Amino acid sequence: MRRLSTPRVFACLPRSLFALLVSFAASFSSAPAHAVESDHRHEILAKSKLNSRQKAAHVYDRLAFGGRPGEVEKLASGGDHAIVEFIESQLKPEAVSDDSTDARLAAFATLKLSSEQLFAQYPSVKDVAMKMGIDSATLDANEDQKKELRKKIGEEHLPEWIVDELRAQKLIRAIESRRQLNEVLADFWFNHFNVDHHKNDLRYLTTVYERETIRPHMFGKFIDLLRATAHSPAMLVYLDNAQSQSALNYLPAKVLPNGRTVSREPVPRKNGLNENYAREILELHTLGVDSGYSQKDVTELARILTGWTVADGRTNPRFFFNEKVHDRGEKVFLGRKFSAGRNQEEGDEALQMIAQSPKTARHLAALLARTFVSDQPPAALVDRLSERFRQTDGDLTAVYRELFYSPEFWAKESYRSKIKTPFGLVVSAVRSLGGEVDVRSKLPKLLETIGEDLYGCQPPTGYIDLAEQWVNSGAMVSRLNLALQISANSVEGVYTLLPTLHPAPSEVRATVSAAAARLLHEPISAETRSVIEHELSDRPVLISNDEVRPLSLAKVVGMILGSPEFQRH
Amino acid sequence: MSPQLLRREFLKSMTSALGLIMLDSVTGARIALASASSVYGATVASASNSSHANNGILVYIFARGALDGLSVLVPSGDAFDLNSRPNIGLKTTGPSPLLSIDSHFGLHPAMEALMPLWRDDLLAFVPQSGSPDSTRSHFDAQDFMESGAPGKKNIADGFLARALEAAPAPNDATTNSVRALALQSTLPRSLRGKFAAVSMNSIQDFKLKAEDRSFEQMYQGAADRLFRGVGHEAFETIATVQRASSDAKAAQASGLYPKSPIAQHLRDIAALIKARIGVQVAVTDMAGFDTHVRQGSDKGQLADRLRELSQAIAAFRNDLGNHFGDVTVVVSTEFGRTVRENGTGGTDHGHGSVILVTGGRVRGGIRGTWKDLKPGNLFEDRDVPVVTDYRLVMAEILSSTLKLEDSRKMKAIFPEFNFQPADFVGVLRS
Repeated sequence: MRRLSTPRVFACLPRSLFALLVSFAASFSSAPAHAVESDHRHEILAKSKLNSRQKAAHVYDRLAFGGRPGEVEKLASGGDHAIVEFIESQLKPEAVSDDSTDARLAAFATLKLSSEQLFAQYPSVKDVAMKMGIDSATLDANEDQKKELRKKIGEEHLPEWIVDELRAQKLIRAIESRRQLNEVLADFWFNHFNVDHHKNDLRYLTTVYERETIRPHMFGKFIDLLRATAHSPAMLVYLDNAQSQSALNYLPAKVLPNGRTVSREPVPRKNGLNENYAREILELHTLGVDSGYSQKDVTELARILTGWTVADGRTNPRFFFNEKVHDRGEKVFLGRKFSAGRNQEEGDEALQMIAQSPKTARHLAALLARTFVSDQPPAALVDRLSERFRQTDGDLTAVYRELFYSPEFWAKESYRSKIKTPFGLVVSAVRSLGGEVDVRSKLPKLLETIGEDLYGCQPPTGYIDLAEQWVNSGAMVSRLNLALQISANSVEGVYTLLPTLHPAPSEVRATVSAAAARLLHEPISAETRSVIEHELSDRPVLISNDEVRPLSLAKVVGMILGSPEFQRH
Repeated sequence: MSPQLLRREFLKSMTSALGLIMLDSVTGARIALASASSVYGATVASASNSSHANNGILVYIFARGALDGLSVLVPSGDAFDLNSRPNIGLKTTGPSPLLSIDSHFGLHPAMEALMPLWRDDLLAFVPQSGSPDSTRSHFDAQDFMESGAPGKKNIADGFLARALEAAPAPNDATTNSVRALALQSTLPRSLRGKFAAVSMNSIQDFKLKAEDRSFEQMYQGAADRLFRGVGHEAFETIATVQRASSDAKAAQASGLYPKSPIAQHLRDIAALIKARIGVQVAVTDMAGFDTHVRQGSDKGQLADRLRELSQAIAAFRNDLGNHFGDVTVVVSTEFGRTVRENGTGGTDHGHGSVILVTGGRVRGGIRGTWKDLKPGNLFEDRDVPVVTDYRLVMAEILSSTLKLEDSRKMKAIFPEFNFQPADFVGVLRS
């Protein structure tokens, strides 16, 4: 006879869930443990109408991808003081030790390699075949032979592996890293300066792009980030600037037999100007659409950036200024004259000029506020962030700090007002269950079905972080299925630990409360609770006198992860 | 002489000088310029006033990888073409000759399954068509084609999504209607946008992996209004789509469809159309057309792909029966391939290709304008030119199928594309 007693139920719970059950009741009434310091940051937090648990949940929702088991509870128990400390530490990621994440990623061969090494070590199947003396024609016509060769080379040595590892590292860092804000920002800034690994040879460039172009500049000056992207092979290839050439060929002066030189008229060139990159710099990366620049400005910036290209694109890609295709004529860009005969430095000047424009400050302020506060951020907040950006000459950390210590950030209206991106949804789900993923996880594939192909967003706009982008009936089906699959541990390469429960009817309510508190950090809505309780009280059926059909907690957790509450952050 | 006749005479002298053929044939015969009504708009003006009682259904198949239009509709009358393709050129004689459809053109022998549609005058080709943008990057060309804005990179949504947004809802549309869907794992670029479209790998896949209705109850009662709404829609959509599930299974069991992925996708689309759930646009795609090496001729890689595609379309038509009357199937690709074969028995990235259109409302024949493949007529001295902009073909089909006759609406669908309904090539009957 296995009649279930209360202690036995709790013995089945993982320790953190048990601890939570105990702390759950306390957390809503406990006062902050530390004395409140009276600086500006504490004042803002003190004025917030959110309770301590909500504050902790909110900061984990926005500066992180949700909490891992126990983290929100722990932060809540430290009160405002602990929250300020958390924000400050997240703003200085290099001071947060993250050895375990580093250790996990140490085994990823591609992450530290240069593009040159990636090209050399991950050649395409065709190139491998050629070295083996199989001509590529034979290979292309014979699918079976190709498959066999791919097998022989091994999954971990194919070029696709570079992208597999890149995606896996993004997931692993977001799920496990203690430098959570760093990961939130890596996602934000990569998306802002989007490139897509599908294009041309970008799969060899994207790892380096994120590692060397995006990540090192996320807490510094915006101009450095902008400049880094403008010098990156990935961006120059993705938005075609690598191919852009002066429409006119400025021929070198002719040297006559008598030693005199005669200058020559420029002649038209067949492959001319490509405006794609110039347009997107203005429209997406800096000033923002409809901010008053003209088509002429786009063309002039494209002319200024002619010659910004990539050397050795298929072996050792790196930035290269090709003077020969640079348009040396005079330009007038946004009202400023760029005199004839200049070279690369006029591009630097133009980038500096747009980075310092108040329109850029405003555009970035609005985007950051939209990402961290709400889909329609209050105008006053955008004004202040924009002002801060200008005062500090585009110091991003100063802007983040302004944002995280703003009344708008801590307003009740901001709490759980954002819809999680598909990436945010899966990462927060795995985090909340204390789970892990490995390099072969199927999450990237599943994310594609909800509309977020990691490193594979085709348009340069990147993903647009607004509710309507993510919430539609097709994506909802995938979101719900994903919740069920993650909680049931049926996604390959994703590991979560959920116990089997045997709650007696009298314990159903406590179990639901405990699970919901751990995953949502909020008492769940009455509607969601009643459906789940019904599920629970329905299931533990006495099959015979000495046998109870066990209830899988996975189903309950799956329902919470699929609930409307969990879609928000 | 009337101004219009004058214009015709002028064009006639111009076009013969340039080696142009205006194509207009119901029977498949090449018809002289004077009767080229598709160019002058006589038939088309009425097509744009289409009075079909039922709403039409567009099935848009994207052939990814750049389909070699010259292997689909082979201009056997152009000596240049034969000479430039010694190993892969398709011939009018031999064991598997071109299918004879016209004095100037033959159809690839692997596409024989489409011949009943041709004989019924329900199969049209628009040769030398495509996107005017000159890029030879698959990535950019597919992106431009599906965004509906060649050369413009900053358009985040797709042309079919914008068309659906602009289109009036059909009279019989209900809140349960699934008006736009894709049979592929992710929503294609062409359907991305504000209009609610769903994508699925198969009907079989598009349901919740839970045995009970707990999620449904949870979302029905949700206090969160956004999610109550979208949850409601999602469950309705699942239920609606699943109405087609037994039909799809039956069609599969009947052996009507081959096993290829494109056939499976068309089978599911047919089931969804037959279930009358309000489908107006269905999108799917097919890969394997990037034939740089050993393209083959009457047999080989490309022949295999074309056979798969043709057999799938033929099965789709037979499966749909009377429903085919409302359907227009379009097969289109990002760009064509070089006129000359390359050193490895294949073709490289080119420019113009062919658009295939079939369906109950289609006016069978070869439409548009053909430029003889002679030096001087080639794009950048090497490729099939784009004589007919793909947007013109899609605009004609969308006008009628989605009842978007108001050409002002078309401006939002294809930004910066200027055309008159009189320019339509006439792939649809009036």
